[in-house]
Formats: sequence, C-alpha cells, structure tokens
Amino acid sequence: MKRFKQLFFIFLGFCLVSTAGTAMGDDTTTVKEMLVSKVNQVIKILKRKDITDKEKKEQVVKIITPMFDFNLMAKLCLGKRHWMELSTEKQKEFTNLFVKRLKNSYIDKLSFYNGQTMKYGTPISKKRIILMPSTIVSKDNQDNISMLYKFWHSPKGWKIYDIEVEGISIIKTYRSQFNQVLRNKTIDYLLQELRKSSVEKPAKDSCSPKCQ
Amino acid sequence: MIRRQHVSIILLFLLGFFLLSTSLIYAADTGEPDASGFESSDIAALEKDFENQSSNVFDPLSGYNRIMTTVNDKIYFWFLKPVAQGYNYVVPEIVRTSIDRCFTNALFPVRFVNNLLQLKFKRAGIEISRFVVNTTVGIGGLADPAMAWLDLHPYDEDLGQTLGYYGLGGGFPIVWPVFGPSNVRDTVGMVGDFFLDPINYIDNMYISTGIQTYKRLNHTSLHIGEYESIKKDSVDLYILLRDAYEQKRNKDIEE
Repeated sequence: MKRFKQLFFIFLGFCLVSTAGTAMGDDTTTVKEMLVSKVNQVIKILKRKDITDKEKKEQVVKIITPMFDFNLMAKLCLGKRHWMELSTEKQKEFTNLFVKRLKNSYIDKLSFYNGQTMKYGTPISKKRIILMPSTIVSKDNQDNISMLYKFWHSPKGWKIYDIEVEGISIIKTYRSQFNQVLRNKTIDYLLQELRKSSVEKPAKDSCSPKCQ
Repeated sequence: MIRRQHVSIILLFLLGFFLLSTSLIYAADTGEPDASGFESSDIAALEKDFENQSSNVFDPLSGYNRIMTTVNDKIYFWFLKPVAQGYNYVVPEIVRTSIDRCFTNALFPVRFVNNLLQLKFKRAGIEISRFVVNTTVGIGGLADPAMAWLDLHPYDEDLGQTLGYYGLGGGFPIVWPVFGPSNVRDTVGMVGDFFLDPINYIDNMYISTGIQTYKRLNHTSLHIGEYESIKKDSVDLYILLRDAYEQKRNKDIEE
C-alpha cells in the first residue's frame, strides 16, 4: 500500500510538471533556444577563415531561412487591402521578389560583422506571439544594437515574422513605403522596382568595414 | 482494499489525462488540418500591430523634404564620404574612435540636463560619474573607462526626447540639410540643445562651425557603408528614412 502511494505521488508529480511545462515555459524556452542555436551557428560560420565570403553568405542564408515565415512577411508588408487586390499570380510574384530582396538585404548586413556577440533578454509571451529581445554587443561595447525578434505560432511551428532593429520594424518600414508607392502607382510599377533591385548584385561598396 | 481501488482509478484517470494532454499538444504543434481557419484570423491579428501607424502621415513639407533628402544624399556621396575615406586612410581607427568618444563626452550637459528634466535622477547621477571618470582617468573622454571598468552605460537623452516624454507629439516631418530627418518637436529640441553643447560657446563662429564639421566627418568615417546599405533597402528612400526616424525616436522616448 505504501509503495502504491509513493508511486502515485511520483506519477502525479510527473503529470503536473509535464503539463505545466508545456503550457507555460516550454514555448518561450523552445523559441529562445532555437534563436540562440541559430545565431551561434551563424556567428561560427562568419568567423571561419577557410571559406570565401560568398560561401559564408550562402551557408548563413541556409541556416536562417527555416526560421522565418517569409510568406507572412510579404503579406504583412503589403497589407491586407493591397494583397487582396492582387491575382494569385501577382501575389506569388510579389512574394518571390520581396523574399529575394529581404534575403539580399540580410546578406548585405552580414558584411558589417566585426566580432560582435549576442546577448539575450527574457522572452515575452503574448497569445500566439513570442517576443525575443536581444542585443548585438560590439567588441568595445560602444555600438550596441537592440534587436527584437517577433515569433508567431505558425502551423509549421514558431517562426519569425518581424524584426525590430533599434525599435525600427522591418515590416513597418516596408509597409509604409509600399503604401506610398501604391498610392499613386500601380502594382506593376512596384514589382518592376523590386525586380530592379533583385537583379543588382549585393552591392557591397568598395569600402567594406575593412577600410574603416 | 477499497482505498487501493480508489488509488488505481485515480491513477488510470491521471494516465488518461496525461496521454490526452500530450497528444493534444502534439496535435497543436503539427496542427495543419485546422490551420486554414486559424491562419486568416491570426494574420489579421498580427496585422493589427502594424495598422495603427497609419499610412496617412501629415506631411505638409513632403515636397521640400524629398528634395532635401536628395540634397543630403549628394552631400554624403560627393563630399562627406570621399573626404571621410581619405581621412580613414590617414588616421587609424583607434584614433578616430577615441576622438568620437571625446566629442560624445563633451555632450555630457545635454544628457545630464535632459535626464534631470525627465526626473531620471539615477541616470543623471550615472552621467555625472561617467563624465568625471572619463574626463579625468579617460583623458578628456578619449577613453571610456566608466564603461570598460565600472560598467556604467551612457543614457542618451536630448530635448526632443524630453518634450516627447511629457507627451508632445512629433508634429510633421522636416528634413534638415546635413542633419537629415527630423520633425517639429525635435527641431525645437535641437535648438535648445544647441545651448548645452560646449562647442557652441567657442567665441569664434568659424572655429566652432569648423569643429562641428570635423566632428561630423570623424563620426561619418566610422560608419561608412551603413547609409549605403539602408539606401539599397529602400523602395522610396524618403519614406524609409522618415518612418525609421519616427520609430527610432518613439523607442528612445519610451526608454
């Protein structure tokens, strides 16, 4: 009998811990761990000296791509009203061009990497959203940049749908620009503009951080 | 015997509950089947966060602002950048960083007064310690021992932020030559802060303007490539800069 009771309590304890864990802390820790491991992988690659810059960029993009919900980002940047006005074909084209642009822009920023590290804050959980505040810490601790990664619980798991850099949201800035363009021009003009920039090479200036 | 039965029933119940809960969680994780219903309402909820920043910004000077954005772009590419690049070539980065720090240190009155005006006394105190330590041990602010050894971080505040702190909205956007994006509130702030910048108390106007220009150049030399990178991201450069400025300022005011 006594043994039975013991077993019962152990079991009860186990049940409580497992359910409470999944209900509350688990998602935020999952998200944080995912971000930390991805960032570590990226930093590791950026620090490697045996591969070219081009290879580095390709590998980094491969690592981070599954973390983003690019389709959602495209939708949010255009806004529901404009999105609905487009044919499925145009929606697809817009998404493709936009994602390409986002990736290029990200790749471009990688050339600023100069030994920075990442510091993580406490994740904030709201409904189906988790906000992950963090800071890019520069080597001399002088030019730190605050980052806010916004994750949502997509059907395919937790994905980033926006990033705020020093309080500046990627989605917001694209949104207001697209809105402005579409106010007096057509979607075809916008697509053409996006196409233009995605054809251009990742125009790293002749002066990279090296000559600073 | 009866008690034993009870326990086993409870056990069974708990086992069932446990299995159910885990399977439910599993279903939620891979819950593709009911995603269609969820998705649209979820996206609408997410979109709400971005909607309040309306696309209809009151921007009476937009024509002038756009021209000035182009002018500033030219000032950067035709003057600031080439000069800064030449300067980079001659002066090593450590020196430029130190000079930049020194100028930042000299702006202590701006940060101190505005922290006080916002009743952020602790931060104002930290600014005093930073100024004292960096001016003495750090040789006029060329080094930042307050940060390196004492872990005292600066609290950047200006009059525009102070006005924002007391609830004043930004007003419409104004792009200033050389200084770049601003708004009505921050322009008023800039004028006020002018009187807290020691450099402006140098008697000879040519010298003070010269120093300000040099300060700008030195700062630019440490950030070459950043503007280019932002510009490349833009579909409409003016709107991007205007929007990013407002968002950044709102965040600064919040802190």
